[in-house]
Amino acid sequence: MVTEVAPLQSITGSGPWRGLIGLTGAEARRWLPWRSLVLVGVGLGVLALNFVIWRIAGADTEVNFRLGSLMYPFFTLWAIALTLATATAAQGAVAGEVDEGTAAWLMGMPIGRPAFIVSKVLGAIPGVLVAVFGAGLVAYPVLGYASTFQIENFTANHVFEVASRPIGSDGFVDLPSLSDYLGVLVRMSLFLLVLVGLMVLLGAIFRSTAIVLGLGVVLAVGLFMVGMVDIAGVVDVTPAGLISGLLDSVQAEPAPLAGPVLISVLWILGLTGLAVVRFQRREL
Amino acid sequence: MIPAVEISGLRKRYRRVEALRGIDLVVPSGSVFGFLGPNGAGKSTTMKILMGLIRHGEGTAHVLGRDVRHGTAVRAQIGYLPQNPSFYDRMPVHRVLQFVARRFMNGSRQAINDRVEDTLALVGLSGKEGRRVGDLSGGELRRLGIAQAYVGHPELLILDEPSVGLDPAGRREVIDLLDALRQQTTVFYSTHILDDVQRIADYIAVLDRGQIISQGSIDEFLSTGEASYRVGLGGNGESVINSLAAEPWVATTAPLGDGSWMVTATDRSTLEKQLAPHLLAQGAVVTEIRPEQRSLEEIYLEITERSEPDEETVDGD
Amino acid sequence: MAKSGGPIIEVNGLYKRYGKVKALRGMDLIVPRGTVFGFLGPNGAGKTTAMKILMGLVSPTRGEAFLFGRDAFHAGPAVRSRIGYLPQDPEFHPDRTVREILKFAGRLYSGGWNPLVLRKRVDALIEQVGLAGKGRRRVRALSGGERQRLGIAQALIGEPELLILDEPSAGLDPRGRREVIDLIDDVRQHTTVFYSTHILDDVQRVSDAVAVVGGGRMLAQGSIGEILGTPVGTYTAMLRGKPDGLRERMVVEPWVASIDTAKRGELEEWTVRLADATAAGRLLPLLANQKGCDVVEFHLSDRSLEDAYLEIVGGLHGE
Repeated sequence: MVTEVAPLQSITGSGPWRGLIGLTGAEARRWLPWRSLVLVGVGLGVLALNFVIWRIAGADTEVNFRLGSLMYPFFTLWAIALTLATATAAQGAVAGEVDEGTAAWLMGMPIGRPAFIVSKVLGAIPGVLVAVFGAGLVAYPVLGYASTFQIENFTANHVFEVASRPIGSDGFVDLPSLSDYLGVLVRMSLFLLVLVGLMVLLGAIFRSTAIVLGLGVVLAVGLFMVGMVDIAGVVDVTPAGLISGLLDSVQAEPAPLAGPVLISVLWILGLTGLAVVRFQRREL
Repeated sequence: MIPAVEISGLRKRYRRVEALRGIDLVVPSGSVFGFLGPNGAGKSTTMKILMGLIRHGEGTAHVLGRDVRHGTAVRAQIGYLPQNPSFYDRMPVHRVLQFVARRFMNGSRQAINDRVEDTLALVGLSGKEGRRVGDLSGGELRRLGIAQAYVGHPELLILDEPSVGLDPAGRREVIDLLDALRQQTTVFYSTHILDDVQRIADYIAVLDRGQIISQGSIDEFLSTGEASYRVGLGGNGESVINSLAAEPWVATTAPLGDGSWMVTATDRSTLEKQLAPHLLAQGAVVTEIRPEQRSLEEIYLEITERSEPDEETVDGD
Repeated sequence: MAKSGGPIIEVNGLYKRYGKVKALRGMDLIVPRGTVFGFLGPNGAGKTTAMKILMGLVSPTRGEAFLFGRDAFHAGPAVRSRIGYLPQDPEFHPDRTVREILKFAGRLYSGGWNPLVLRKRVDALIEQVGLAGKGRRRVRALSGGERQRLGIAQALIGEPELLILDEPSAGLDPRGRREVIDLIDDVRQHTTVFYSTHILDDVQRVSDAVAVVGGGRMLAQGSIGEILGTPVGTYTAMLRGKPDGLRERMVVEPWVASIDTAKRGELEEWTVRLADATAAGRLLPLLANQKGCDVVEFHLSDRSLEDAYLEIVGGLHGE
């Protein structure tokens, strides 16, 4: 029946990783472009909200609001928003697919179960990067320029004068260097990938999507809080170190990058590995 | 030849319920095999074990000679349609099939597309390849289900109720499709429409409450009980029938009126060989030779007990 | 009470559109009193819409429909109380028991206010639909077949003259289906049954008359016999063995119009259409003289209701 172009070859290889590339591609397309764009939109929304708050607070208090006070609330709000949004999105990865029955469909094909789990984490990487860097790279110049405004001096002339300065020149008080700022975005992305790993593991353990979502959000927010209040000892061995480092860096305080990144990568590997083990025995 | 499916002493227990209580089943290679039984009997459970979706207790299950616990290597030979299939809702139809085809085969984009097109044509979905899965009707979704099971040209098709929810035309299409596939692949499928099974299946097995209560070729099933034939003769058939009664392979003859007689056999296979030649040799004009067959449905209803399902239905969902 | 002579359901030129979709395009239908009437057609043909219009659940765009000789849309409770209805996917509260559901439904009908009468009626119905001993079962613990029978019991509680059942045997296994069929057979003495289904072999078992609809129109209506028609010059033979060269020998005969073969288990089914029906007597000798095979079965081809239906629906496509 097939009009032979170049004949199809049956795939002979087997094993736990069969199907990994195809599944990762499919998973990546579930993030890109729409889900990632929504997450970028969330970031830009938080940015806009941040200015509204700043404008109201600034008018009230006569404090000369400058960069440190602008960066910090933005990143706090943005990180919380992304944490919740990513947890919700990643909940569908394993728990949702098992619930809807698409997991049973996929696992009825010659696809290894480990490949399914790992593809969920790998496939999330491009989407998460787009979500974080998409909004983050917009926020950098916006926050930078905004910081040089004098709020009591908000006139058209002033706006023109500010806009003509090159980024990083004298008026840009305390703006983190671009490389430091990229470090911030790396931390943010990695933290979200830890969450994806966490949701995948929960999905591999629990049957109910409600439990997975509820537990996932509680753990994610908990981890975030630990990083925010910087509980010594805990932040050194958990991905919470990413959050504390992130919040330090945006206030131009030096913070270690390599350590928390390494720890978090290990966590992602650990969570994924555990999920692989759990899912191997799962009945679909 | 290695059987397509060979199951022996297979057991499966969900927490409190024993879903399979030691079943033995052989699906000959190249056959169309109907897997029958009431709701909750364990049909879906058996199929899921073959697909490696759930693990089994005691016993063994082999597909094409391989233990089903060998995972991907086994599934590379099987196309599967789950009972309530769900595919990615937002994927267009052709992308679903490309995706599945690539799980089974390597080849150029063109070759894959050709295969997908052929498969779409086979199930009657040509022209709908761009539609999203979520926008398909129930019948179209079933056809996509069969298409994705067959797109890899597997050696065995396992279809869990492929025609449920279809209207008669849709069901007939599925039946014709399975009939057409019988040269290429073994078909192991479950259904509740026994008249359809009678039409195309070579073998059947009946599962009831986790046990195989009957299994064999469809002919064996239908020829249980007394062998009677309705014989219609044109003109004066009386003398022909009388000569028939003298034959050793005929037990009784009885007139039914309007030129028909009921003839029962002492030996079915001899009667099947001899009846037509004998009647013709007597110069009879034969209008009808029809075995008095009970339908598969009647036989099925007889052998499955009136079921009192457990509180929990273990099959399906 | 309205006069009892006329048809129990009469529909003329019924149109219904949902937005852009035309669900009914001028449907006509007559259901005689006292029949078991099968309402057949592809998915999306408008069966459920027509039933909902009859039940006053949706209003038609155009056309008229009569129940017991009265306008169906303006029919008041007096007419409704003479009809029992089972919707396509009946939903019952999962925590209610069988008895609670029937009692609740029963209070809506005349006499239902009387606890003694109601109790008797509920008991009798539970018995009749084969749910004896399950009166205290909650809906969630019922099997699909039991749920469907509860639905029918609920439709029967008002002792209706007309029962409208929308796919009462959908999703049931063969035994469940047989139970539904037997139940319909049971009530036919007192009640006209108008029901839709896709299982045509069941229809052939129990129905007096059928209507086939497609594309929102009536395609055919009549008794089963009328729909099936009389068989003509097509014969079916079952052969055991290898009939080598038989086809070649047959196609050259001028009285053979066409030959179809299909494998049926160990047998081969030969369907032979004759160009000349008077040549029927020559067919069997030809088959029986073939070396290497036996003729196990020989007769005029059966036409099932399904065959007739598929011909009627023919070009229409269900989707």
